[in-house]
Amino acid sequence: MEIKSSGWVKRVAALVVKDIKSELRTRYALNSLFMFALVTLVVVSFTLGPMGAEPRVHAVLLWIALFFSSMAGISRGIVQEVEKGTADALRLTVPAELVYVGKLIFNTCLLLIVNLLILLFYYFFMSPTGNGVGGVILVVMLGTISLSGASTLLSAMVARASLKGALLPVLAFPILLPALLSAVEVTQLAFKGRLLLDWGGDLQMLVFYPLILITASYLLFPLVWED
Amino acid sequence: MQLKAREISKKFGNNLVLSEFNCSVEPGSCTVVTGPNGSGKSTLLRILAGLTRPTRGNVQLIDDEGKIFPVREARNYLGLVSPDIQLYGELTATENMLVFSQMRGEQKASEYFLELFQNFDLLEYAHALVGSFSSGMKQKLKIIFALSHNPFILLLDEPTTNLDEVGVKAVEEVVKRYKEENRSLVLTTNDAQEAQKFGDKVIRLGEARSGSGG
Repeated sequence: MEIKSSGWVKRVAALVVKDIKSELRTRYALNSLFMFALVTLVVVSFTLGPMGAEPRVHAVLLWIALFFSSMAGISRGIVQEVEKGTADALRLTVPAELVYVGKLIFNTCLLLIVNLLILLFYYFFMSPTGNGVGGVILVVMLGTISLSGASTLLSAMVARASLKGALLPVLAFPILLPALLSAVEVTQLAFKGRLLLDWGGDLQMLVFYPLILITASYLLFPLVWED
Repeated sequence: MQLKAREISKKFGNNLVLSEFNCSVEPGSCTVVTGPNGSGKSTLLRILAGLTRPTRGNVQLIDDEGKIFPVREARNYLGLVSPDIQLYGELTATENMLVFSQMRGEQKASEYFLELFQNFDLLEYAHALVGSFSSGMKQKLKIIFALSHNPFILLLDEPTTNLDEVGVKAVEEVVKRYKEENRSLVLTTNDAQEAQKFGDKVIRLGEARSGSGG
């Protein structure tokens, strides 16, 4: 179908607004994301106790919580469309490329809000030392774009499988590994209070990897979304 | 506008549901597809709507100037009512219609849908959540969804299932109006009386696992 440039912004906006309205009324993704993150952080906080940890350990623990809570909730958007039978109505109405863009925007906004709240909880429960809060927030935001870029495509792939919940992290992990390694590296530098200039190639990876992921996902999504 | 299916075959695993099916849906006509359960009626309609990919063959839309579109690129010309399609239960009937209209890139106001709701006796439920609807009310809303963008070709998979008298009458009106406006319909049913009433051409599927018409 021809996508007229003048109309596609409004069409994508309608899809995003619909997703926000649906999410606020059902809270499928929000509840999963928050519950998983909260449980993980409480377990980690009890395990580490008052002794604290090195910045690298904090960085790893933070990204484990972010990765798995994202995987627990983010697939819900597209999986719900398939499970509830609304995916066909969407296929008849919106070209696949626009569905990807709409879902990507919604997932990114949702994950940004939830991941920043997880970070807040992390500081509350774990009290990591250092004064690089601004840097950590920036890394979490950049890493979140990679997480949503990959998981939007992958959740459409797993939506028809019977083991959706288990399959998504398994598929996403190898794809997100380069971004996760860079995110952990930069997060520990940020926890130490090191400045943006010291982040080097890992920062470039966090900026450009999601661009590659999103471009590839945009091109592949129609093949996954259509029968 | 004409819809053409050429040598459509569909296999699910080893199960051959449709075999080299040909059909041409002419403007101003209602093609009725009948056949026993499992004969491939719903699959055929999904293929005609571009929702299911045939194992072999293709479906094309040909406009009045003879320009050919693959059906997947011209879905806005089609409306489909199918048991597989559901609308958003967490939104109201009006919200559903508005959001699908906006996602199509149209600028319709909620008043546009009120007449459709009125025709199907759903006006008083226009602002109720679709999740609270009965099966019959959901079926009416699916028909309104299929009609909402005024498509040239309407594909109706057992449209009168679960409908009350008002709903059946409204479907009859839709079929009549489509024929008068020189638009096309494809309708599946198991009811011989309904097939005779609506159909200008009747195709029976399931005999030797294939069917052919037109």
